[in-house]
Amino acid sequence: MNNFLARRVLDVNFEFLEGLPAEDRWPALLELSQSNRTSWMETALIIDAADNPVLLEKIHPPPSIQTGSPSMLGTIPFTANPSERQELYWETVVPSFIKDDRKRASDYRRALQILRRYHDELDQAGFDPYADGLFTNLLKLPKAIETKSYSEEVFTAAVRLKTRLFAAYASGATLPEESPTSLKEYLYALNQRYHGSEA
Amino acid sequence: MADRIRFGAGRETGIFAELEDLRAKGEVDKLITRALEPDSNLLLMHEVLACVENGPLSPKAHKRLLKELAPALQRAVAFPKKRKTRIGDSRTDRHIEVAFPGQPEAAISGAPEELPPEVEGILDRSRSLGPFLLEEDVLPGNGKAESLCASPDGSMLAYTTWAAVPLQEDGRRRIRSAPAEALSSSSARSPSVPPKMVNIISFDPYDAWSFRVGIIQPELETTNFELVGLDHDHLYALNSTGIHKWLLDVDIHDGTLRGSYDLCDHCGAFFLDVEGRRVTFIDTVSEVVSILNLSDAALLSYPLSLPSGLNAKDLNAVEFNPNGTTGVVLVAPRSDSSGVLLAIIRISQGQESTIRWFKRKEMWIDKGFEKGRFSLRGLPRDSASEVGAFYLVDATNTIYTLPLSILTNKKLDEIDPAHLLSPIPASKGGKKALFPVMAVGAERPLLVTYDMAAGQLRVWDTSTDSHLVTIPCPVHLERMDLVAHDTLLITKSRSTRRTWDDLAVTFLDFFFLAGQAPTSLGNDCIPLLEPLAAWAPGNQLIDFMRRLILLAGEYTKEASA
Repeated sequence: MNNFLARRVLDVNFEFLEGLPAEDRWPALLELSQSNRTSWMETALIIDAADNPVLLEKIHPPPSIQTGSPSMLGTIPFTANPSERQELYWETVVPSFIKDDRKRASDYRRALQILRRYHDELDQAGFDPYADGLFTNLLKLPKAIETKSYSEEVFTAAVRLKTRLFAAYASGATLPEESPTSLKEYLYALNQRYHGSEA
Repeated sequence: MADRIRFGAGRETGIFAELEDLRAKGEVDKLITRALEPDSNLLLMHEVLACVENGPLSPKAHKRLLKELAPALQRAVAFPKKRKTRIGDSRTDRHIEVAFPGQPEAAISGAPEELPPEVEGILDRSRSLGPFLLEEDVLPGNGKAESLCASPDGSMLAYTTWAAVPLQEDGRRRIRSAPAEALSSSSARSPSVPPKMVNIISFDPYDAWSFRVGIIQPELETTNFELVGLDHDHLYALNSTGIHKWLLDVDIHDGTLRGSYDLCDHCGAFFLDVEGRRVTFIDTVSEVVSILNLSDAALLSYPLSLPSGLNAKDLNAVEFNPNGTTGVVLVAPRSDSSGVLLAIIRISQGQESTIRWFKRKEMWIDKGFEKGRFSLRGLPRDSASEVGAFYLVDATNTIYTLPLSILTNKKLDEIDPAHLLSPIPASKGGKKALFPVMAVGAERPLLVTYDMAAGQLRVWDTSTDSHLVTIPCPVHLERMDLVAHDTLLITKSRSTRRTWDDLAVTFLDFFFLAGQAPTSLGNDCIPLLEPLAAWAPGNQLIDFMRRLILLAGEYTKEASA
């Protein structure tokens, strides 16, 4: 995990916003929530920010929104009330397929919580927030720790195993042997050989 | 075609009979020496060595060879007699059996322990192959697809799926999200589902990326549409609103819509020629074959001249050869009243067409065809030659060939219907089943058919129209494609009570490697064998090949020293 990402995951301090002019902060946040949402972790961060009134207090919507004038989001009335502000943020930036599904939103919150708690161990095991399937593995991680006891093997398994295998491991199955080579590596060998034979 | 493919090499040369003769005489060393000849293959050699290892006689000249390979020569593979009804995911549940022309079917499918004691020693190559097929969790992404298609050259694959996580190769942010207005409008209708994505995988060179279908058209987020074609620039999707059909031409790199073609609301059988950028469809109201050129949107129509009693809605498939000059129109098997089986349509360069309808009675065929595919029969796709054939499958999965060579230099009226179609004998005799599925190879003369009644995938060599391999398939299939130099077979299961189902990969390369001559296996095969061994840890033949390569390396070192 790189430092920039680590800061955002662990602190949710949105430092990147502080480097921007005041009028660009709100659009930058929107961009993060909409166009730049490329992994579960970024979506989880958005939900986390929406849950955090202290953070929202720091992010002031631009004057155009405060006055209720048309903006890129349409007319949004400004409110100083923290809970209303939180609701406004939630309604505005959290994707509707998540905010309308309470379990999904809850899973995102839990996964981020687990990631923060075990970030050192996961980082050592080579955790990649963009790898497919690790979101589900994170949700199963506490169960695996409970079943197998806290050990390096559990975190390595969480990073290495596919979701079904890790679910079985978390339920008590033994750690399977080294996972098969990825399709990418296999195809690299295949293509090398194929082109080599043509030459 | 790549030179390295050697389907069951040696069967034409009579090596199998020679080996059987040497085995019967008990000349063990000569038997092994013969199996090491270049016209042999690894399947044969493994079987020969297993036969010797499990027999009473020991070789003298090849003693070390047998000793080194002995761990990979145990006979313990038994084949299930019946197809499994449950959907199994255990590797031990999957089996492969190999059949070669001239070999009695009973010798192929019988389990080793069921053989009478007197024939226990008989060579049977089917025993060499262990369980190793239909692997899930291999393709990147979640492996669940609503719709699947591959490019004609087999180098790319696209599938639609519901996923919160896009494919990203090497952490690059290639994902392009849908615009905010598209998101809000689509999610308002279906708020509780993750985004719908198109995942694209390039096999050579390897790459993978995704884009949201909301980019193509916001409405697609909430409607079912079918991927029908793919090449290195374009992805084609068929979107149906009621009976109205639209063909969407999408940029595969970022998902932007390049064009949308209205196929009207009376579009019947449909065929997309991706390489020629042509769409052929039956207009069921006007009773014409319409050909839409996607490059200039020009539409040409040719009359079907339907025989009496035949309705245009009864035409269930249309298939053309690669340059679009000859096509076959199939009549649905359930349409009996007209007695018509199929039509051949020929379109000349002057844009004139001729069509001839053939009746079942005059072709001595009592059942209609469910599906048809064209195969170039072993020639590269870019060859200018016109040699190829249509492969037609009926409800019993019997395959009939319609070679283009029959039609060459002949007017349609001059063709003798009785000799137009010829069945592939080995495909006969299946039970009646719906939904046949076919896939053709792009670089190799391969045809794969799926028989739902028997629960089998069958691989055919279209250069000789012979049966190569039968693969028991424990799930119902909806679609399959040969990709990655025809070494991988991607299959999509048939959905039940849902719009998506699992994708699986069958490694046909394993079979192709086993078909090579023993002396041709070199160190360059090791990178291919390692992943195969990881995916099928108990496979003896892979272990055998690895040991053989290492042993050959030692021999080479000794010789050079």
